[in-house]
Amino acid sequence: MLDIQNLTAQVEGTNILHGINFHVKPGEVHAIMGPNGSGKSTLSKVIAGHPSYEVTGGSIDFEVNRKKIDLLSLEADERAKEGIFLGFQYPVEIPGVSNLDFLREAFNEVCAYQGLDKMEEAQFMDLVRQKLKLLEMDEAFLHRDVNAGFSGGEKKKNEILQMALLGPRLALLDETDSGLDIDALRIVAKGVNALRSKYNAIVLVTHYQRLLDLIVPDYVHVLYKGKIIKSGDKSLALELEKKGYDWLIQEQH
Amino acid sequence: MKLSGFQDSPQLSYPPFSEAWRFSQLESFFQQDLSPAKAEFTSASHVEISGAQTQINSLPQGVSLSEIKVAGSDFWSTLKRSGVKYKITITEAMTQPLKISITRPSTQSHEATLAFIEIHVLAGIKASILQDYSGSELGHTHSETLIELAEGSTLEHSLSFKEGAQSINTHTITTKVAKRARYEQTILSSDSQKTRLDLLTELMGEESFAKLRSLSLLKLKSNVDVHSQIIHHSPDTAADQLAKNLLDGESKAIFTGRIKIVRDAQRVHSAQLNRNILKSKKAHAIGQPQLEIFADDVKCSHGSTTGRIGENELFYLLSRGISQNRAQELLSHAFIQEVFTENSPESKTFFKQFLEQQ
Repeated sequence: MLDIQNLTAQVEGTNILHGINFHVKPGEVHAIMGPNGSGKSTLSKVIAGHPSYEVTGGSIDFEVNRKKIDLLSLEADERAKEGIFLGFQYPVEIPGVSNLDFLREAFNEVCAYQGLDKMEEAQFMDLVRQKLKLLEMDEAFLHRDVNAGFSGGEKKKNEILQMALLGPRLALLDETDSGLDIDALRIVAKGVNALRSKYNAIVLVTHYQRLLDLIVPDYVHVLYKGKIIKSGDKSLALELEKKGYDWLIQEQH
Repeated sequence: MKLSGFQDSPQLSYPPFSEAWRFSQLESFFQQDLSPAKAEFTSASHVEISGAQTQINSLPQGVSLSEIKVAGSDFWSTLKRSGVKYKITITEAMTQPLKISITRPSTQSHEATLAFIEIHVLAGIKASILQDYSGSELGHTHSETLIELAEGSTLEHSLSFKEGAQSINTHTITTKVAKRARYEQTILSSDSQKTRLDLLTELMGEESFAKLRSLSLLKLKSNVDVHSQIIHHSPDTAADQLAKNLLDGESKAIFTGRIKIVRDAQRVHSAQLNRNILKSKKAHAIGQPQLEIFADDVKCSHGSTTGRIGENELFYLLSRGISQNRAQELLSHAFIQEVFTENSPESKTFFKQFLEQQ
């Protein structure tokens, strides 16, 4: 589904990614871990197409319905329409736009691109309510402005609500667990697990095992100085939780 | 009647030839002939003002209206007599907002129109006024609105200026807010060759409060020059100002805002923010927030930001599949809506009609 070859990228003239090779198949859950500043957030933003990050080499291919797409040739909105979703580490506040309008706008654009008929308002509301229920969110959320004045936990739930509604093929969740209390973490994990299927894939960027107890990954990768230095199964995360990153970093030298 | 005597009049309520007027040169204004304005007063439903043609439709309950008598034969009195001049007193709770529409008569010539409105809200009364100024492409309007809020009263004052792309206009709004009274002003303006707004808000009594919101939406070769002064005369007063400009084309917006806190006006809270978004390369914004504080126990903030639509906000929308153009539109809309979020439904409807015509 996702095939990243030798990817290098920079932001404002500083090289952050130094040759990433990363492959994801449908149905898989990958966790990306690593010390602060290793390039985890950069990788997810580059895949989603943030304009501030410049790709200087390598390729990202994305395959949906047996159609292979060169992701780097697409704008961020086109990537989203093809089924890529980025859950933000710091969701952006947009005072003046209601959450419901925002959700409807995004949903309709993605549907139109994928050749689906526009959904009737009542049917759309049913779908939204169903997703709200999954995330144990109050309907009042819909009538508040996008993320404006939301608590940290509410913002992250709102990310998962958007994801649940858009039903992406590939979800990149950038530190979705940061700033969550235990209950909110459980609810967010429930939302993510509901998306899991043999057709979809999930990439979790996280620092903590506690998220991986709830969303169990198939693979765990350690990113350090813009390169994947170790890949393993879920036991790698447990080992990191016990031993930290030092032993891996020393292996590098 | 020519306006050229204007410049020498000692009664002129502001001096247009000082530093504060350097962005608004109005020589052409004084070469004009004077024509009567058209006014209409009604309930939100409304008052229409048009010189000889003033219409007073059914006024909302609690509103009394009288024409201001001007004595004297000097230039200023004569000038003032030729304009629209009404005193509005709100004596009891209003059933619905009063709407005042001031229209410059439709004409192809550069004529000038004058309007003087006094608004008095009596103690403890809650009032809402929707005031709009409109006019044809050419021409000039000068208006002065004087507001006095008595103890414990509240006024929601919604003003819109849509006066024609080639018009030159000067408006002053002077407000005195007594003890525990509350003034909520929202101003929306659109393209004109030049619009100068002078806003003077004086917090006279303890625990008085003013909330000022303004937004200019400019697309053409327009110029708006807003001078705002908020004076805290009493302790425990508060003010909150947000002045925004959304600028496209070759438009230019100037915001000069001063917060003044007099000696012994302690425990004052005052915040002022000017935000400008430039949508084109030729749009231009100047923000000059100023503080003048003579008390020592106060909490003040002021700032001015100018930029394009935020890259992070834009990327957030793009990452959800919303296209670049639509995302720009949504963020412009959001920038606009922030000004009205706390307004009453009637006020929101009033501005919505204006925005839909844009």
